[in-house]
Amino acid sequence: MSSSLVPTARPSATRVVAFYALLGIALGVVAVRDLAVAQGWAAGKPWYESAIEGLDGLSASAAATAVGVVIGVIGVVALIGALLPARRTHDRTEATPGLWVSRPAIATLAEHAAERTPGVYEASAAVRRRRVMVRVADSEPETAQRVEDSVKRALDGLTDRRIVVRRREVKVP
Amino acid sequence: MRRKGRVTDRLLAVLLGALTTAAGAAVALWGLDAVPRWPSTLDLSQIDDAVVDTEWWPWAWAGIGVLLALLALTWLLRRARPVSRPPALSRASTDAGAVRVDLDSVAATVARRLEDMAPISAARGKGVDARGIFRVEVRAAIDEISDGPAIARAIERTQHELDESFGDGRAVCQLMVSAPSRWQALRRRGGTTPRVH
Repeated sequence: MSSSLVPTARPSATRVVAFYALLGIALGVVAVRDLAVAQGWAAGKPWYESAIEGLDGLSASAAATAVGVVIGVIGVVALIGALLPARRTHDRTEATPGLWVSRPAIATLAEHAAERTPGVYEASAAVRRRRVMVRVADSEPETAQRVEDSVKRALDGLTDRRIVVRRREVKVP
Repeated sequence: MRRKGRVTDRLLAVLLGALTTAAGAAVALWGLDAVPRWPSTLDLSQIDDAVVDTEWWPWAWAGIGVLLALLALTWLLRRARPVSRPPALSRASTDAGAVRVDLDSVAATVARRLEDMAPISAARGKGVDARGIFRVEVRAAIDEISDGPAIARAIERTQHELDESFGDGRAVCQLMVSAPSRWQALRRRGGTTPRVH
């Protein structure tokens, strides 16, 4: 449907800017603290003075290169984050126009459908790109087929992914 | 989050990332002594005398810091709160007169209707005028005991009702279902009886 909006999460660029925004706020706090110290309103030594004293007379060294590499890596990570597309949060269902379902929602439905199947003691589900993986703990081998049928019924119309059931046998005392 | 906000964030992130990368590369090159024109030892004594030891420097430094912090805080607050927007209105004129419809109210009603018909909860609707087509965006949490066909039937029925009200293809329903949040799931489980095999 052309007028549908593809639901996406916040782009990672927003997280990158948020990181720099927090740094900016920290810098503001330090600057105000330095002003208070420089004007004699608070005890101590301004941090900018310590920074200048520390950097003055510094020679080119392997440590400086390492610091440069670390800063560069942070910059490259920020650049990659800025260019990554926003993650899709929901998948379009082919069978029903207008219906979009998130992967955790599919997993929740599959898990509960498996849990409600007679003979199942415990169940969990994970959604992969092409399949829904359901893991169950049961006591009879026939349960796997029942779980598959039950999950298929629950997910009918929501996803075309293959249902894969993995069972773990538990002994009933 | 609006498209404009996303573009701004992307541009800002590219700019900040590029500046950081450039700064890191400059420091690394200086550390390797790779640029002959750059001094191998930093001499900041002139800056110390001409800038840092002056009367105005602490105020200028504080001013820059506070300005940056305020800009950062404003940006964070704008991203933290939901985007406010004017109500989307649809206008139609007939021989009998003009009609204006508040699309958000329609979307809220559609959300309530879907919640009644389908095994979903916490449905919230938003009306969007997408170039002449009214799009009803409904976000909801799926009920744990639910099934696909029931949701599909509900959305098909809702779409049919929208077609009857607005005309074929004039209004589109988009339902986005997610897993229930941890709090919703806990609240629901609190009232249920444990299963016994």
